[in-house]
Amino acid sequence: MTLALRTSTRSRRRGVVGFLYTLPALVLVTVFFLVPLALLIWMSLHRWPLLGKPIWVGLANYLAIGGDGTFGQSLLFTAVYTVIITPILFLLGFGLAMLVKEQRRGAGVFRTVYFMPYVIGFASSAYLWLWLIDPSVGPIDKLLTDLGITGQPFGWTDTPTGALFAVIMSVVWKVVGFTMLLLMSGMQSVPGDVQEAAKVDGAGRFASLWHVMLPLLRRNIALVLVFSVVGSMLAFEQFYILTAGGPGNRTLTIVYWIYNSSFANFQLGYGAAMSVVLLVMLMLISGVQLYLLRDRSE
Amino acid sequence: MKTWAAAVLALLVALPLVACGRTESGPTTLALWARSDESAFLQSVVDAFNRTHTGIKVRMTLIPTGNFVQKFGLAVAGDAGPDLASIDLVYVPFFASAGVLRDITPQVRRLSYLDKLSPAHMRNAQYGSRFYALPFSGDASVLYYNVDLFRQAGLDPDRPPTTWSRIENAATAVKKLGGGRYGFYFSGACGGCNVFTFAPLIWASGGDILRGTGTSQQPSVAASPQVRQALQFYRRLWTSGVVPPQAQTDNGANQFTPFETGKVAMFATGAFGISTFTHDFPNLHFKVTPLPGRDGGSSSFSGGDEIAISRTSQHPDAAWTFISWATSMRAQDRYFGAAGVAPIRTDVALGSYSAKGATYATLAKALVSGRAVYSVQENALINDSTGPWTTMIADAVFGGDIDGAISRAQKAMSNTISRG
Repeated sequence: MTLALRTSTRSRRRGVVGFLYTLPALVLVTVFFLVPLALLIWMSLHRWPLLGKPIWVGLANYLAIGGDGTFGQSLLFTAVYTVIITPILFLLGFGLAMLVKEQRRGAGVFRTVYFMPYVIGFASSAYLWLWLIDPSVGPIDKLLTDLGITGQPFGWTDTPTGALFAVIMSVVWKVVGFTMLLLMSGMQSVPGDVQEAAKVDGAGRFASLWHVMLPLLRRNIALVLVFSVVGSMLAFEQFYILTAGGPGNRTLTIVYWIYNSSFANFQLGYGAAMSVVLLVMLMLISGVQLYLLRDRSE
Repeated sequence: MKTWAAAVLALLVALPLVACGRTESGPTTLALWARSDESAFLQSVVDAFNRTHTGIKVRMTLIPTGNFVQKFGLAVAGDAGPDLASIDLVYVPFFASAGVLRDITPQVRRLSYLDKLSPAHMRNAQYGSRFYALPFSGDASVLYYNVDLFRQAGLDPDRPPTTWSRIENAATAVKKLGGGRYGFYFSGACGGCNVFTFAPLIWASGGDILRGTGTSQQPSVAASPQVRQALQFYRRLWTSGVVPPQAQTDNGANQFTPFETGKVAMFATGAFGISTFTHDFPNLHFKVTPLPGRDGGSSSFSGGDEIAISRTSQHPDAAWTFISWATSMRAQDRYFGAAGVAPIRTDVALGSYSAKGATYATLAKALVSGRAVYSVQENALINDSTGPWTTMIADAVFGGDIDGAISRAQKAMSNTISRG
């Protein structure tokens, strides 16, 4: 009896200590995520102008989304952008990780060079690319015309395809180093004896990669893909600065439209409703991704 | 105890004196906020007021044009707004509806020159039949044309185009000259520029883009055949190659360059073009003509600023003194008209301002007879670079899907208005 009581007291004390350890994180999540989320949902149920008094409208903002062609168009464009850029980032990042994963001479320099653009903010990187692709003063068009590849400046942002391509170039340049780093750390944690065993069993380089490396990298790949998809679905700065959503709204992303509805058109309630819808979509997408890429051995 | 009580009493007596002393010891200082593109002339207006008034001083702060609406609105909402604001007339209905501006109806009604003020400005100064602002600076869209290019192309510069087909013919003739010369220019990705220069083509032909006001307002882009015809007109100009390629992505930032450099024959813009072209490009010989309708007639967008007192101003009477001085005949003549800014008084615009020459006279007539867009959702509907008006022009003129563009714009405008 005494022993049981002592055990119970000890486990209760351990529970309290555990709670105290998680308390800072809980406070942060509550203050910076749960409270703003609750406010966002509250706003989405109001006609909430930037100026003036909010008016309760129930689900009217959510119902208005159905009739908003720009919402559908920008969501579709964002999905297309995500579908295009995710495999590019993954394959390039994977290739770079393969190149720099070994501890050989000079590998550290390359890792740093590939990763360096990641530390620049998206806005700064977009402004840099705005200059690079400028048809009058940018070096890319000058190089292309000097080499005779194009007869005149390309006009990257004149067409939807050119504008999208310019953004993809800028984002890949900026983000691929991070993808490389995540995959490289996974590759380095694959035990050498497992790869040795595969080699002894007669597995070639491709078979070893496909049957040994990739299954062991499952968690890292899941992380990379979730980051890439969520990051791409939330794309804003690069489009805001490089294409301004044009030409003709053809490169308008969903977050750009939420921003404009909220802060250019002062319909904060409607912007909040679209944000909630996007949040639910992203939670579902990430859930499906994590389910598909889960470690089945667990 | 006695000493302590005396000290409290002294403090209580002194407090009101301290509060009064602030205003009685020196002049009342009014904060005036204006958008940065008004800076060229506004400082001289403020300086003139400060020179001629001893009890009131105005201190001007320039806000970047693109951020003015947000900055002013948020400042007033946080009780940190200025006393006076010079606001683009298209945004006045929004600010008035949001309760940011002071109702000045009684003072306005007492003005002896009420009927002399620009009609378009006066309409946009009202919300729910109350006045929240008064006209401040004027502007009007007209068609500028390059006299030398007209001559070289065999066109008579004294007979400018008066219909759309004549604009097309003149533009084609100039384009045929070669040498990188073009017939016509507009900023294809600039909603504000296009409501200023493209909407008058529709109005002059008998069409409209919005009908009604307030909650009963409805877009009429689908119901007005003139909108379709005007888009077809711009589409023909674009596909025939008489418009420079950069028009498609020009958000207004470089709108003057093609005309200034003498490479473009026709370009619609406002009064500020006169002083800019005359002073900075003395070799550019230009004239102006009204923006025509499809088969004749003309119209113009009466733009510029209104002056309003913010709700939070502590000095509304002093602010009104500035407003009544700025709208006086003398101030509009000496500090607006003389500086090349279109005056908002019809008597000054059609009088001394028009006497400066034919270009000014054409602008003055356009201002007096012009109109503006009235909507509390103006930014969402028209000026927003991702909004339905800008998108409709891009899709129709550059994409060629005119019917689809109009239909989508009609639906998007209705949707925006319904969301309030």
